[in-house]
Amino acid sequence: MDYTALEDREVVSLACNGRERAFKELLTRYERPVFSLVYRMVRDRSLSEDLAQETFIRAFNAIDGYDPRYKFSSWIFKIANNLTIDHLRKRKLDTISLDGSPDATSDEEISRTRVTAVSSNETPDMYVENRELGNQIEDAIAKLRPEYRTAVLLRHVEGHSYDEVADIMELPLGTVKTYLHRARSELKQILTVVPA
Amino acid sequence: MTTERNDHLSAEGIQAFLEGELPDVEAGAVQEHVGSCARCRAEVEAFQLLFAELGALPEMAPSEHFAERVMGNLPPHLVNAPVPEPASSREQAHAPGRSAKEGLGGWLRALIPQGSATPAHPSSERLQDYAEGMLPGRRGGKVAAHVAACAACETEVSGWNDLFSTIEALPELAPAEDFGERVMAEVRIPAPSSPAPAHAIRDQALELLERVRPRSRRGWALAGGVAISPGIAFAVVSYLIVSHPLLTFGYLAAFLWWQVTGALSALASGIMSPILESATMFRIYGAVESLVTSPGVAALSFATLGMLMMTALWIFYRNFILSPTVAGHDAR
Repeated sequence: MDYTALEDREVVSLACNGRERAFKELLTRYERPVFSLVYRMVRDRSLSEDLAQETFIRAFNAIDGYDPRYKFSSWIFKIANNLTIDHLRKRKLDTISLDGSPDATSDEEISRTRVTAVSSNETPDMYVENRELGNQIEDAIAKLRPEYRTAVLLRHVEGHSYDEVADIMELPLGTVKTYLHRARSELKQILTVVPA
Repeated sequence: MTTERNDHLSAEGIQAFLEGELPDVEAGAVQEHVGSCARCRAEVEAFQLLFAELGALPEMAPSEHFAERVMGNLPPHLVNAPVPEPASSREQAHAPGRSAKEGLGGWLRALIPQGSATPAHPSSERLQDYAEGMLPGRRGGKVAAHVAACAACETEVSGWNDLFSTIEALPELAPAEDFGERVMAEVRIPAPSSPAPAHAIRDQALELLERVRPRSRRGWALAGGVAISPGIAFAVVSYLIVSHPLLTFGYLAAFLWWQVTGALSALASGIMSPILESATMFRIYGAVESLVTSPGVAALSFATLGMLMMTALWIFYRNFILSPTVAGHDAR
């Protein structure tokens, strides 16, 4: 049987009947989109792999509870989004000024206190790795609030409709529209800052 | 809801219709209703007049030094943005800066400084919706008409499209190669479910019925004919019987019974006669008769019978007289 030709709900039905190939087919279809979303949310490769892995494990172990009336993609993205948002709420990000200590009085002191990491948890290897997301737009998206970031990534990167984004984020449609408007306006503001 | 309980258009429905916010199907239904209902047609005309009067309200002018006060409060780097080409006063009122387009950054810088949209121009959110194609019907048409006529709004829409394209072009990222294996190692794959036997039989029966179920009118007619045929045959036979003066149901039953018993008797005598009349059977009968009448056989028979009776009594004593324990041992 060619699983690639089946719709998501047909593959899920086969998975509920114990077909391991069905699970692998779902994994093949959604591992990259889910990982991309999570990675752009947390900007840490090993953490995003852990979160994406947890997303699939939870989804597959609860496959019996999936309601086929709704899209599988919305369901799995909802799990991924909830896990990521929960993690971001628990984690306290230490942000350090990029321009050196405000108390520095000499060039040498400014240079010494200037840092390039945005988190005390970011090692040099992770910093280099994060440069793969180093273009302007990626950095701008990273500066958005988590809710705005999610909305922009789901709408413009993953291509979900407004209704699907509202369903995934478990928010009213009007709130999603507001988030997207504000997120785009903030992106515009961030991208217009002229580098010093 | 575009209609009230008495099937006339509601005020909200009329406004949504005039604003172009209704889907095409619903807008068509409203248009058709307005064409045939004088009351609703009058309501629509009244709202159209209201919208026209609101749209014709004049722009109010601020005080003389308003512009100087605004510019004086802007941060320096915004004030020092490149000076645009001389433009009409109308363009300057809402879009004071427009630089040459140099990709995304050029468009974005051209919009600085940007205050809130004047009443004559769609808001930034409306332009975003328009750029995304999310404005249906007449509202989208109005914005399209404005954008076609307004260079600043056209530039903003173009910029939004560039931003959307840039975000949508972001690549899909891949996890590590062993990601799938790590996931599957933690997944509990459910056992294949098999239906209960009763359900299986029922399902098979339903499947068989589904297979033989007629699919067309001709099929249903044929099935009906086959089902009704025994009834018709019985009705014909009954008529023949009832209509014959010498034939009754009692005579018919008696006749049938006589025929059946005669056939069974013939069968039995045909099977048993050869057996009973054969020489072998006669010899066997003679031997059994002599055995039965001999004293030794009689004594053996009595002894066997006695042993069987003793065995039966012992079993009865063990199971009904003694109280059995849970372990099946005799109670002491």
